[in-house]
Amino acid sequence: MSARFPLALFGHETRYVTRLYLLRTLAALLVILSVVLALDLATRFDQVIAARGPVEVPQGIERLLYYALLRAAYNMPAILPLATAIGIVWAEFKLVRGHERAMIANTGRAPALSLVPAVIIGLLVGALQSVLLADLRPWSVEAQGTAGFRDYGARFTGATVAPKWLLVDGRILRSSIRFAPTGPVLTDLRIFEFDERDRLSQMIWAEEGHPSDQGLALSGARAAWPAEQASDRVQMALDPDWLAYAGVEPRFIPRATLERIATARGGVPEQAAYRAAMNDRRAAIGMGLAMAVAVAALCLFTLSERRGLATPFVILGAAYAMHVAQNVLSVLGEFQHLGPHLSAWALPGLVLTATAAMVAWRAWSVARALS
Amino acid sequence: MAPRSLPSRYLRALLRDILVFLLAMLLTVEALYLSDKVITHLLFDVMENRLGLSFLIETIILAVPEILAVGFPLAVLLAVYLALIRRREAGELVILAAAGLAPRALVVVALALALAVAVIWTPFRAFVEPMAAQHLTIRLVEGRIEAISSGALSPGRFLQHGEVTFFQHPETAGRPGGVFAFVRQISGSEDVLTGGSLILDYMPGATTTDLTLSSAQWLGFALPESGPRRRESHRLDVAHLSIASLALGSADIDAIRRDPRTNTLPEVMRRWAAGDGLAGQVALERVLGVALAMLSPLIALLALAWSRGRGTLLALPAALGAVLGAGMALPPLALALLALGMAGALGMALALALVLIAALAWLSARGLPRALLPERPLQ
Repeated sequence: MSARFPLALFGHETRYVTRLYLLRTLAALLVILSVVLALDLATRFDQVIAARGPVEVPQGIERLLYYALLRAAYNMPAILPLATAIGIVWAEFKLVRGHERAMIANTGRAPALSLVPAVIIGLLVGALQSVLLADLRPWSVEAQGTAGFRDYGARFTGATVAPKWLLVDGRILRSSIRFAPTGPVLTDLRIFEFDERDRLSQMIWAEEGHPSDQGLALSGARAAWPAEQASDRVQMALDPDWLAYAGVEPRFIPRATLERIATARGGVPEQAAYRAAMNDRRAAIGMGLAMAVAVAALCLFTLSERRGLATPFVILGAAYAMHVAQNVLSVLGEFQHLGPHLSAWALPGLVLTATAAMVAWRAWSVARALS
Repeated sequence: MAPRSLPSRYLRALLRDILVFLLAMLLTVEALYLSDKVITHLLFDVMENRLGLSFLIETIILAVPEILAVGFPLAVLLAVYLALIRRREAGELVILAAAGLAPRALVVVALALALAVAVIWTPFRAFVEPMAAQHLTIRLVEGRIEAISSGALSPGRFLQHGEVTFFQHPETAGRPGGVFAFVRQISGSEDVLTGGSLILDYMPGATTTDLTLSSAQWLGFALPESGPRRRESHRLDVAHLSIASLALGSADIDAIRRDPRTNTLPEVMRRWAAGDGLAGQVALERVLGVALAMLSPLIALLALAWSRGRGTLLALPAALGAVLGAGMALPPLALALLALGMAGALGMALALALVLIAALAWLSARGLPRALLPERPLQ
C-alpha cells in the first residue's frame, strides 16, 4: 500500500469544485454586469453620445463599447463579492441536489477539506478585488472623466473646483482650485489663522495662490488683516499629490498616489478618509477570503436535498449583510469613529474566526457522535 | 357543468402565493436599495452632522417609498409569473383545463389583480410617495442644522448652510476646540465669528436664525471697490454675543416644498390647472406609473404564455425588460402628452392604458391554451 499524503488538498474534489465555483462566479458576474450595463446605457444613452471632454473618443458603436468597458471596470468591484457568493451558493446547491456532496461525504473525506476550493477562490477573488479597487477603477474613473462621460472631479476636465473649505495644519483655507496646464492654482483665496484660543489672528485674501515646496506663493491683488498688505508668500505646505487630486474621491485615486497622500506627514485635509480608503483596498483580499469561506461553510453545513430554496437565499442574504457591514465599518473609519486598520480588518477577521470555530465545532460534534 | 371561474379555495391559495412572492420581492428590493442608500448617503449625513441612530432610522423609513415607483411593477410582475409558473410546472393548470376550466379564467384573475393594484397603488403614488420624499428631503436639511442648533458640531468638519459656514476646531491637549463661523453677506461684506461654543435658535424653513456665542469675537470686513482688498468695518470682543435674525440666505426648505415631485397628486393637479407645466409632467408620470403597475399582472400572464420551447428562458427577461423600458419611457411620454392640454393628456393616458390592458388580455387569452402543459415532464 502506498503511503500518500492523507489530506489531498489539491485532489479531485478541490479541482472539480474550484472549477464549479469559478465558472458560476463568472456566470453570475457576467449576468449582473450585463443588467447593470444595460440599465446604465439605457438611462444615459443621450449623454454618452453627446459627451465631450479633453480626450477625443470615436463616435458610434466604438464609443458605446468604450463606455461599456469603462463602466464595467467601474462597477466590477461592487458586483464581484456578491457574484462570488452567488457562484458558490449556486455550485453547492447543484452539488447537493445532484447527491454529489453525499457521495463525497461517504468517501470519508473530512468536511473541513471541502473548504479548500473556497480558500482558493477567496484568495483569487480577493486579489482581483484589490487590483480592481486600486488600479482598474481609478483608471476607469480617469478615462470617463477625460472623455466627458461622467464628472468625477475638475482634475479630469481641466475645470475649476467650486470653493472648498479646508483645514491645513491648523489654518482654515477657503479657495477654488483651477487645474491649469502648469498645475493646480488656488483662486479667490482666503486664509484664516488662529491664536491658541482659536480666535482669528490673521486673515489673508488673494486672487491666486501657487503651491510650491517653499509654501504658497500669492499673486494678483491681495490683502491682509490686521496688516494692510499681505506678503507674497505664506508658509503652508499643501501636499502636491492631494492638490493634484483635489475634488476627486479618495477611493478613485490610483494606488501609489493614494498611499502617498494617506501616509503624508501634513498638508492633507481630511486625511482619515484617505487612510480608510487605502486600508479598504488592502483588506479586500481578507474580505474576499472571508466571504468565500463563510459562504461555502454555511452551504456545506446547512444545505440539504430535502430543503427548498429558502436556505440558499438566507445564505445569500447573510453574504450581502456582510458586504453592507464592511461598507458601514469603512464609513466609521472615514469619520474616525474607528481606527483605519480596525475598520478595514475587523469584519474579515471576525468572519474568518467565526467560520473556523464553526468548522471546529462541527468536526468535534461529528467525532463525538462516531466515538 | 364545467366551472367558468377558478374554484374559490384554489383562487385563495393562488392569491396567497402571489402575495408571499410579492412581499419577498418587495423586501429584497427594499433591502438592496436601502442598504445601498445607507452606505452611500444617509450614514454620511448622520456621521457628518453627529446625528443619532433615531435620525438614521427615521430617514431610512422615509426612504422606503423611493424605490417602489420602479420596484413595485417589477415585483408584481415577478410575483404573478412565479406563482403561475410554479403551478403550471406542477401540472395544476392542465388539470384545471381538463376539468373544463377555460384558460381565460386566468386572464380574469390577472384583470382583477390589475384592479387591485390600481386600488393600492393610486393612493401610494398620489400621497405616500411625494409626502415621504418631501419629509425625507426636509429632514436631511434639518439634520444639517440640528448639529449647529444643539451646539454639537463635528470637530474638524465644515458645515455649510446657505451663506454661513460653521466649523469646530479639533480638540487640543484635552481642551475642546473653539467655534468658527463665516458669514458672507449678500452685499459682499464678510463677517468672521469665533468663540467657545455656539447655539442657534433656528426654525426649520426660516431664512434667518438667532445665534448665541460665548467668549465671542466678531469681525466684520467691508466690501472693496474692486479686487480682494477688505477693510475691517467693525470688531467686537464680548463674553456673550447674541445676534437676532442673522441672515442665512437659504430658502432650501421652501424650495423643497415648491418642488412638484414632493407635492401630492391633488396639489400638482391644481398647479397644472394653473399653468405649471412641470407639475403637469409630474402628474402625468404618476398617472402613467399607476397604469404601468396595472399592466404588470397581464405582462406576467403573457410571459407565461410565451414561456414555451425557445421562449422558456427569454420570456421572463423580456417581460422584465418591457416593464423597465416602459418605466424609463414614462417621463418623455408624459412630456409629449403635455402638449394636449390637461383634459386631452389625461384622456389620452387613460385611453392608452385601456387599449394596452385590452390588447394584453387578448394576447394572453390567445396564447395561454398552448402553454398550459408543464415545460418539464412531471415526475
